[in-house]
Amino acid sequence: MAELIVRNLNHRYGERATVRDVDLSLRSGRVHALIGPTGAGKSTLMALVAGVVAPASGTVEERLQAGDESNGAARLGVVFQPAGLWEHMTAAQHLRLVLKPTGLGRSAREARVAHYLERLGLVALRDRVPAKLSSGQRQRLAIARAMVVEPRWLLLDEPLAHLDGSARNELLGLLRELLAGCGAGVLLITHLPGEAMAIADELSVMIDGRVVQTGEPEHVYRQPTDLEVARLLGGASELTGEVRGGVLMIAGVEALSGVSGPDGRRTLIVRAEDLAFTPDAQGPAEVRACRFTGGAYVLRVDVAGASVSVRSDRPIEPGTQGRVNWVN
Amino acid sequence: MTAPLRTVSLAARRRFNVLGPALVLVLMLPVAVGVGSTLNAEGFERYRSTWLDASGWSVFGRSLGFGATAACWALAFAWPVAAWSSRLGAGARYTVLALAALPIVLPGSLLAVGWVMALGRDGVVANGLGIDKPWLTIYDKPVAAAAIGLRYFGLAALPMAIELRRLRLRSGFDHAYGLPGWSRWWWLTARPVLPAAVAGFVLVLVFAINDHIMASMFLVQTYGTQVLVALNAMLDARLAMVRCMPMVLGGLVVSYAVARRLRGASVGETHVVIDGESRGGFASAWGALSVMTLALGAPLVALAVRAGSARAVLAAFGEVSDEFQTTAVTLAIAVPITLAAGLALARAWRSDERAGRFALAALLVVNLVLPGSVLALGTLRLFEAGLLATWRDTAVPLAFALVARFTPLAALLLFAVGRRESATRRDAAKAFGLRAWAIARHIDWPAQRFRLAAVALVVVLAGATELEMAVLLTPAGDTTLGVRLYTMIHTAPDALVSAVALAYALALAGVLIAAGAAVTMHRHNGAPRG
Repeated sequence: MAELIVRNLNHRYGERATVRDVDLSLRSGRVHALIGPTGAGKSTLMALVAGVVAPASGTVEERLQAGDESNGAARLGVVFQPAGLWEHMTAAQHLRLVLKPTGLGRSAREARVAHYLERLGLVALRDRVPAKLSSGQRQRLAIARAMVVEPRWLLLDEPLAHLDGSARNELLGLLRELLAGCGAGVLLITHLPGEAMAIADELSVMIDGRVVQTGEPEHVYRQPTDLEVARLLGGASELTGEVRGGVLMIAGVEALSGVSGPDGRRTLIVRAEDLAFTPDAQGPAEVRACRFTGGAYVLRVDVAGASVSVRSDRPIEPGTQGRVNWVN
Repeated sequence: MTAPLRTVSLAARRRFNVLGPALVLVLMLPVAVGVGSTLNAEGFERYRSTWLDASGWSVFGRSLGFGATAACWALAFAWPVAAWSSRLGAGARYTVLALAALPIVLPGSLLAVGWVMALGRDGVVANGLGIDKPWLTIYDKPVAAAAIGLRYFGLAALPMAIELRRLRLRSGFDHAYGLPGWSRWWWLTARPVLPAAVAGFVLVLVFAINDHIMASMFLVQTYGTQVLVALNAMLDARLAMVRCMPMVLGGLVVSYAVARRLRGASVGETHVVIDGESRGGFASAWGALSVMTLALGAPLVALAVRAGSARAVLAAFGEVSDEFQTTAVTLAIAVPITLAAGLALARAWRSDERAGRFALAALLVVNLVLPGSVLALGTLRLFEAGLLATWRDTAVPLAFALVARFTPLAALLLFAVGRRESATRRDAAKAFGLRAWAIARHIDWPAQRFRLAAVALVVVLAGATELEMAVLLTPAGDTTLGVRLYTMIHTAPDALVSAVALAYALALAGVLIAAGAAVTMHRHNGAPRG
């Protein structure tokens, strides 16, 4: 199994550090998603891994074993953001050009082009230049160009960017299918948790140039290292107080019951789906707003001076008093 | 787990791009050598005799006053053009601005001959009105300044048009606030455009002061004429250089200011804008068309009247065939080198990090803003000794000076036309392992060949019509077309001078029409098909 190892990578843009001490590894056949807010340095990190930008320090190495280097396969396939399509070339010409350095014969190249045009649904569009393609078709062409070289490492920077709901879901399904069968080690960069969770075997969170947490997607979601990571992966609130016998007390008020773990002063990161609201006229919490989010309601509840989001299966009138319980 | 067979490093290596700074140093040589030639005892003596004497300051003051008058005229001419162009769609806007810039790329001697034929003491206008002693001639300084303003108003129109366009896009709903017309015009249009107008004024001032061809043909004594006298009559290159020094210092200040603006120039930006209202376009359209007709029409009509017949114009082509040849040879040497160097600098500039951009931009602009005579004097000195002396009396010195002068122009244009282009186009090619040659052949050339041709055309026009350096650098008896026109006004009959000028204008118009046709065909054929 080939491995791509990023060690202590740093990059500066003028005075600003864009990538700071990043360690990361990819393994063939596995998808590693990198998620982070806009401006976190994700795309710069990808450009460093792709070798188109030079790092200030650090290394990017691949460790290969016998059989990892097959004929006709390239080292890298990349989907850039923006896609970096060549506006003067047709879809088929894009694929033909990137196959040239692979050393494949002409007929093998043509067969590969035909195969990937077909896989990505671009056969009818093979003679169109990018300006004559829709956003979704352009993204599919970018993905086809990256995959046609059957690379050891596939770097995807926001491959579903600029697509609306239905086109996004359609391409997400196709991408999942393609990645499962390609055998490449994949680095998927995205700012959308749903996209990362749907595809990734491993997840890293990048904030302000640093990778702050890496692990299996569910683990990172359930056990975020801090509030910023938790917020990035889905609406979360922070509550700080004294836990006594499973009850979080804030300023002497019972803010949250059903808390597991040791007693003492603690900070809890809670998500709406972890909490439930029980109406109680004597309760310390008050519903401030109720919003339908499709399939469920999200309440904004004020308790002991803090504000938390709580999931509810039914609507509750603002102004209703009650209690907040930890349910997961 | 099996032990790794081998480890391969993938990270790109950080490389320092030496080509950009090295090219800039070569291009700066003429200025450095020219200024350096005055930094010795003999030079200091010239400084003392020139600047401790009232005559030096008087010539400089006259140049400044004349240039400022021309710049004021240029601003007045530029305003309607900028206002009108900002109301137009992209294609029409570029056409109007290109037409406004057209007089700049016509040779100064051609326009000056045209104005002399129109408004000379026995010019077409005076003759037509039957006036023996005309009260309005091109030899009156304000009129001469207006003629020069009509050459350079495009320089002022461009920054104002950009600013006005931005305002228009941004403030389409300003009228909703109910401000009175004048108040709205002053606070929401004139005041925001003021910095651009000042920039335009300074640019025109610099170019008008340094245009000593038109000034000398209108008999205005600016520093340029003193440079020519010092070099040709007194055979004193150092004195000529010393007389340029205030313009060198002024040019450096302008270069610094321009470079500061260029420093912030970003790559790959696109803006989504909502167009605003478009009212009051008639007055600005009428004004703009009048200015552009006056700038080009008056001199050309006067030339046509004086030339007499089409046969005379055709005969004039034969009269100046040697000069055509010299001009063509010089351009054949200079233009490819200028384009190659411009491409390399534009690329270095694009890839350079922001910190490095400022120095490169500042150095780039210097050669464009300094007086042409400074570059020419430096080039003369460079080709005085050593190996280069063997080329002294050939087209090479002028070609070298043209390269030094216009490479910054080519680099700036290539940078500007490539600004919107996404950098990922090349990054993608690199990431897929394409070699430099394959990237150049398959990615760069197809995408850029048309832009390169357009910039080549601008460089050809600029080189073919440049005169301040050509007057000093062309060998005697082997002159370019512009220089011949400049000198023959004193020695040949008006009809012949007019016919030659018109032939020159027709040749340039032929180049422009061919370029226009190429643009049209490119737009027609280049449109992607579904």
